[in-house]
Amino acid sequence: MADSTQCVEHIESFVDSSTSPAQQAASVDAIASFVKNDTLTLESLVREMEMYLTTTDNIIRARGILLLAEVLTCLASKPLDNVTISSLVGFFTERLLWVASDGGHGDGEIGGYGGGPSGIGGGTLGSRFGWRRWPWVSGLMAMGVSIGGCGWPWMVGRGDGESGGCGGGQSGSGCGMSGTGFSWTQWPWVSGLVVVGVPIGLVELKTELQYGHELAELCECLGGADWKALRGALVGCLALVRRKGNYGTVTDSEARAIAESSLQTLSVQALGQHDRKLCFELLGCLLERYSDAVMALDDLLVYGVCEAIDGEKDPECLILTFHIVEVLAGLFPDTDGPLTSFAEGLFEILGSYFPIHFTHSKGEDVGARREELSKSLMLAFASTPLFEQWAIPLFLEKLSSSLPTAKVESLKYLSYCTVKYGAERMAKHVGALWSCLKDAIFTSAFALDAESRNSMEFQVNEIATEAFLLLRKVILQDDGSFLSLILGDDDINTVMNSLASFKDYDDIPIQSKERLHAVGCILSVSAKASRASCNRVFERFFPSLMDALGVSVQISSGGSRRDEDHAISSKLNFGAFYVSVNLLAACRELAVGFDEVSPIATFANETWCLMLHSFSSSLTRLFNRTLVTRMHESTWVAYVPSADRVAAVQLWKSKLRLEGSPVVLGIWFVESYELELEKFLGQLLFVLINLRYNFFFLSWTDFPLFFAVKGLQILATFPGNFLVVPKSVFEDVLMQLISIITLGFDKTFLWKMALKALVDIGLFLDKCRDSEMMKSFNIIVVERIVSLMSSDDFTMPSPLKVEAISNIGQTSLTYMLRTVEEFEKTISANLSGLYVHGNLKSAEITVQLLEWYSYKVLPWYGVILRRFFLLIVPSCYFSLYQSAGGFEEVPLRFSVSVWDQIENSTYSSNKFQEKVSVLRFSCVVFLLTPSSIFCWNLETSDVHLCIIELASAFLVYWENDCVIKCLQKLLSAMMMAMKHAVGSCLADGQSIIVDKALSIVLSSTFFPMKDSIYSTPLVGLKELQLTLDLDSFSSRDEWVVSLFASVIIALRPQTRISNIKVVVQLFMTTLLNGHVPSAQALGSIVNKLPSDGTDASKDFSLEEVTNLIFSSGVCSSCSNGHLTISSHTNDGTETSVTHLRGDCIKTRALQIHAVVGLAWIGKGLLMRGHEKVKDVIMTFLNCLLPGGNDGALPSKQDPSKDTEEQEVLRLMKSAADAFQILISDSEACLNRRFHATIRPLYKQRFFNIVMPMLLSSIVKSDASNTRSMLYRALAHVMIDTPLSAIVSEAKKLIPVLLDCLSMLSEDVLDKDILYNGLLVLSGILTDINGQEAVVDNAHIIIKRLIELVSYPHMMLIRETAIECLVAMSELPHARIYPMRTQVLLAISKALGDRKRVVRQEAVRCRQAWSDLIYLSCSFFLSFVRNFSLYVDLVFILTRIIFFWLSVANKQGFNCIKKSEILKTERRVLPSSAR
Amino acid sequence: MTLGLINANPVVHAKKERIARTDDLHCDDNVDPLDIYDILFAIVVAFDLGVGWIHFVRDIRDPEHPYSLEQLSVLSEESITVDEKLGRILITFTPTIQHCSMATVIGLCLRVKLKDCFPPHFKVDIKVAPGSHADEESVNKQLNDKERVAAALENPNLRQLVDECLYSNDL
Repeated sequence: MADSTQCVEHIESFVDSSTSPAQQAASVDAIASFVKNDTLTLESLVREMEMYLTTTDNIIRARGILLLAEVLTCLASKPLDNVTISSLVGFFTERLLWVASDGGHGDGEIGGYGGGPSGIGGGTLGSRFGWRRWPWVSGLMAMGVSIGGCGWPWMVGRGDGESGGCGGGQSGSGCGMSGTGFSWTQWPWVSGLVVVGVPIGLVELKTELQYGHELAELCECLGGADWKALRGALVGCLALVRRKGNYGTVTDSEARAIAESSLQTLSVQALGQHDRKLCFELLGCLLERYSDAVMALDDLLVYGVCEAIDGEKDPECLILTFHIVEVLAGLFPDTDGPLTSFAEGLFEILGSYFPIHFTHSKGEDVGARREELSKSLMLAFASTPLFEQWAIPLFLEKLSSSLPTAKVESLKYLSYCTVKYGAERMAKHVGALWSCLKDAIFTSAFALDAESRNSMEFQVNEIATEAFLLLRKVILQDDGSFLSLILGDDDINTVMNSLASFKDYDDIPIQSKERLHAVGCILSVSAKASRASCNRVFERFFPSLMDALGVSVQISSGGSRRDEDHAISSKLNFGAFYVSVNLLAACRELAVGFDEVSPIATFANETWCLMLHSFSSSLTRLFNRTLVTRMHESTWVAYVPSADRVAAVQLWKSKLRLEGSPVVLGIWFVESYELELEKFLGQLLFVLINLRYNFFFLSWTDFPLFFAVKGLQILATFPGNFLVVPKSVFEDVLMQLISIITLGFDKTFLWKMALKALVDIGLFLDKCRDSEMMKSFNIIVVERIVSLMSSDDFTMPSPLKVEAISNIGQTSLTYMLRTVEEFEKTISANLSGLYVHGNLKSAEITVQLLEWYSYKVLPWYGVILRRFFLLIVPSCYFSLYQSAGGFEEVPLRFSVSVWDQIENSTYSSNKFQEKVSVLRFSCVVFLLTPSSIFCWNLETSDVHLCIIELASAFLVYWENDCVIKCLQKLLSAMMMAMKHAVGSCLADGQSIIVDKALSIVLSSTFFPMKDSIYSTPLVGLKELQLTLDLDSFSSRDEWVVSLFASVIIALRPQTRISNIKVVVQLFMTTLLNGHVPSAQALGSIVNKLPSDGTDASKDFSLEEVTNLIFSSGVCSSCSNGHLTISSHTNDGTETSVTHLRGDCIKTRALQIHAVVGLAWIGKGLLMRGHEKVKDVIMTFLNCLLPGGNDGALPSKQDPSKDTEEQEVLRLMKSAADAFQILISDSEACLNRRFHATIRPLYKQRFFNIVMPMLLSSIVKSDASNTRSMLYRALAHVMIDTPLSAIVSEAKKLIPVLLDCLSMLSEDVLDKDILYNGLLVLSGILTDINGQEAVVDNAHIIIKRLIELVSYPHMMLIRETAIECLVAMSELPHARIYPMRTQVLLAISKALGDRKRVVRQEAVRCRQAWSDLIYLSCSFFLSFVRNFSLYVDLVFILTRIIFFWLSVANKQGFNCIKKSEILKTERRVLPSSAR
Repeated sequence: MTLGLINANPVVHAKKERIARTDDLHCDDNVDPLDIYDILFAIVVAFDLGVGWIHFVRDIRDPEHPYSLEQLSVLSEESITVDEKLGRILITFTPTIQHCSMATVIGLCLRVKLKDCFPPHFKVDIKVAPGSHADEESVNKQLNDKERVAAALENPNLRQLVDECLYSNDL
């Protein structure tokens, strides 16, 4: 048993109106939990609350009842016995009745006042007093008015556009909102609803406050009505009615009692918004749950509902209202039920809301949306067929309104209600419906007024969509009379008969085009609706269309081809052409639809099928012919260069505007719109109907072409079961399309359309899996396309080839497998062609194919693979999967076959190699020649010969350059393909590839130190250097090593690399030759090896590998290289100088390579968060710092050491750049695609480690070289660190960053780093957290930015610098004001910049900074001008001083006497008056 | 002020849309009339630290009305010609009424704005459109006389008026 005092506390807290709503809610919860936990029974609670429930104090009693109700709401899932429930029901129902009786009492009383001789608008009064405090007051007053004789208030001002005003009393000043639609005011139920009269005595000479008192007294004297208890009673009833079956529910008779009392006695519309909502919820709940009980109320129920909902205006309540009507209509479905007599009245109430016009601004938070309202109203309308006689005429009337929203709404409602009311009832409206619908389609769908085109477009298109939906529904529902109306319609027949006059599209006047289009759509929708309708449309129009096109019936494809050619060769009848394609599309859609429903359909005997069958081959020929003839005559605007295209669009737009033309059907074909176009082509007819897009046709002549391709596609994609299209026709179509692909590639637009059509056909076949058709497709299309790949025909551009192959391949897995198979063959053929015969031509397509393979095919396989594992792939793929040996096989096979090829090839001694070496030689000759010319050839007057020599050498050099570039491109494409292929394999497949690759690498000729690797565990730097000469790499070796590196880069962490030690050694060797992929591979190895050495399967642990790397000398070579050199110089003699220099350069080059290699290895370690990365960083720092390089830096006097100095600088630079490699993201390796281990926040961690080191080094170093290199490294780190990390350190970093910027601006080559650095600065400037640091350093930042404003080498830098300056102008004025002259000076130079963007930015910046002056000036000026303001200010200041002093006084600082202050005040005051 | 406005009821035109230009990043951009037009009616983009971007239009205001010169059709793109070789800019503007005494002030505003926002090596000529002003010649003379312009700008009252036109936020 809960402590009763505790319970009372909670009750007190709730009842007390001074507590906050949150506290009240908490006390309700607390009490409810007591009851739930059985620490307090409901009976004892009620007993506890007795005083609150029965007290004479209205407010406390109301709160008490509400508390009980709220607690009940919380107890929805607490079982209660029937006795309790019935007593509670009795209690709450009684409250409802009290309310009613008191209300009645009020009626009479206040009526006298209401009828008084003069009144005042209640709306105003209400809002003045805040009705929410006395919601019932308005109710009272409303009643009063009604007695006063001006009609029921709730009949007034319904939202039907009439004025909602109503006189309040005989001579009252009427006040009511004129209710156009629903303009909800803050007090929705007050406006237009209540006009109230109060005695004249109250009106006159009384303040608002007095009104309040008067009213309150008035209400008290009305007999202490229990209005306040209403809320509690409603909540309580609702809680009881909503109880679920298991926990004890209200009985039917009790429910009926509740319903009765609430319907009879409550005047819902007189209540406040929340109470009305509760009432409606209660009603809705009763109707839904206790339908049997309330049905017994019959007329009373219906009448009560009508009365309750009439005049409702609040959107949330309206939704409930509409729902109530819907449920009510569901209760009395019979035509002779009680609803019949009230149906008209009910419809009148509902009808005034249609169409929903909602003027709420979007910002306001309303519980209901327009769509919800509209939908629930629609459901209410459709709830009973009884409404039909009034609803349909209403909809049809609104359909002819000029408001687009009204049209759309009516169409939607018509579509929905037509189905609900049934064909029988709709039959009498069919004629009117058709004429309205036709008007809507003919006029509003296509006629657009030029001015409002853009704003109207969407709505207009929506009208068309809805209209066609309705058309379809009506046709489907109707038994054929509607279709007869359409087919017999005069307008349609006129258009169809005049088709013969529309010979060419250009000749058709715009209005006829609109008509034609509308008729085409109507017919297509009609045909699509059902089989029967399709038959009728075909019977009626198809033969005449075919006649117009000059196509004759022809069953066998042999026959009278010649006559037909003759017929077609005359000018094409576009109108007929267009309508027939539309019809074809319609019946195809119909066929496909049926095919999905019943796979073995037997519709082949339908009339349209037979007709289509007989015409199909002739139609195909017609389309083909159109394509062929049109292809030659059409002008291809799509070819104009992009700038002209823009002009063309503008021209078209202006033309449209001039002619006031309709939505133009057509296509605007630019690359950027390609996506839109894809959509468009895909569902052309859908779009034609919807007109959702505004496409522009560049040339009207394209139009027939477009439809020809479309027609072919439709014919080819008829479902096989219908056998509409014979096989020969299908093949003809495919032949035609493929011939466009292979021959018509110079017509981009047509080519793309044809390809799209083929892809659609392919996708369709993949879906329906018709074996015959697939066979034809395979032979005609796939094989042709695939053969493109390997053909030596270079007339077709290779990008197009690849596009065609890729698109066709992706239509089906079978085709993809086939294309990939061919791809592999082609690649190997091309490679051998390239290397054996030096055939460079195939290199280009090979590169593109490889790119296609790595970026299109492999991701595609990834998707299929995922689907395969999720088992959402068609079952037919499983057999494919088995036959292909798993999809994983594809990339695996590619990799293995490439390695096979390398193994079998003997490239090292082929022709190509010879060629390259010859080229290299001539290159050297070329480089030497210029100097020789000037040295001695001029003397011998053999200039002529020399020039020829030079020219030929140049040619050779140029060719050589091309070859090398081409080969490099090929190699990088190959590596990328290899990486992606290996990356998408699983671990098992990967180990197969690695093993194979490793065996080939080991058997290579260039790998001579096999033995040494096996014999000695560690190979020193010197040895490595000796074993491999820098230039000894042959072309084949490079391929082998690069591809092997690619394999290693893409491995998964789980994949085991056998013989890892050898691999590491190999890569370390090649790395020192400057082979970057090897370094990346090493980085990947250290990144992915498992960290613990306990794994037995690994023969080499991470620790061992890192030890191997760091002890082998790669690391030490970076820092110690110079030592070996200096020792050389110490004991070197005169003769060995040249040798030494060569040696030293070589060593430096080696060091640079080592640095780059180490950077990649370090990156691998860094990304996995390995400790060793610190060693790497230290190594780089050693390279940068003077401690490591002082000995190496020679004195300036010795000229022979200049080169040495250069080399040291190069080394330092590469060490600085190594930081970039460490921290930046790489596309080539160590990313997610290649399964790198990436520790979160590794960049931030790196930043935190490195930044202090670099900063302290900068402070320590005094040599300018060292400093600049340190700054460079710092800039790299800052650029790639996330901005948030930088900003948090901004105070420290800004000065350094600025130094970096000034250092980087010295060299042109560093402009990209400079730009990125500047972006970091601008990031800090715009970040709120960096602002403090920026303010502190404002002067130096501005100084640096001013320098950069005139940076000559890069526009972006100038622009960004000026933007930063604009941002700086927002800083506190006191801080930046001193800099303004400098800034303005710098900007005035930028005003004359070469680039427009910079100039514009400069103008903005100038404006911002001169505002600074203006603002300060204007402040001063206005200060002087507005003397009174000045005086006011002085006054305020005096007050502030006074206040301060008074505080000071209190604290004992009695400095100035109060009287003196007052004197000052007095002295100032008169001047202010002046 | 008892004198009243010179043109109490001007015709206000809608602002025209600016033609978007495609910029080629690799070549120099010549100064063209549109540039000057843009500068005269520059949309100032100021960015506010932390709060985000604030755009506000800063056209030149008419001395009499809270409309911009563009809205009153005093200036249009066609009325500006640029000769880059000779480094000359000619601006012709059309006062709203024939006897507009504000024509000189408008001209002065244009001159000051261009002086502030344009490469200094251009010579700017500002003229009233032929036939649009009763006192055409003298206005033209006044506007293009260096000394008189300088003198005008030294007059604090005039300067203040010009500054208000250029930097006012009333639009």
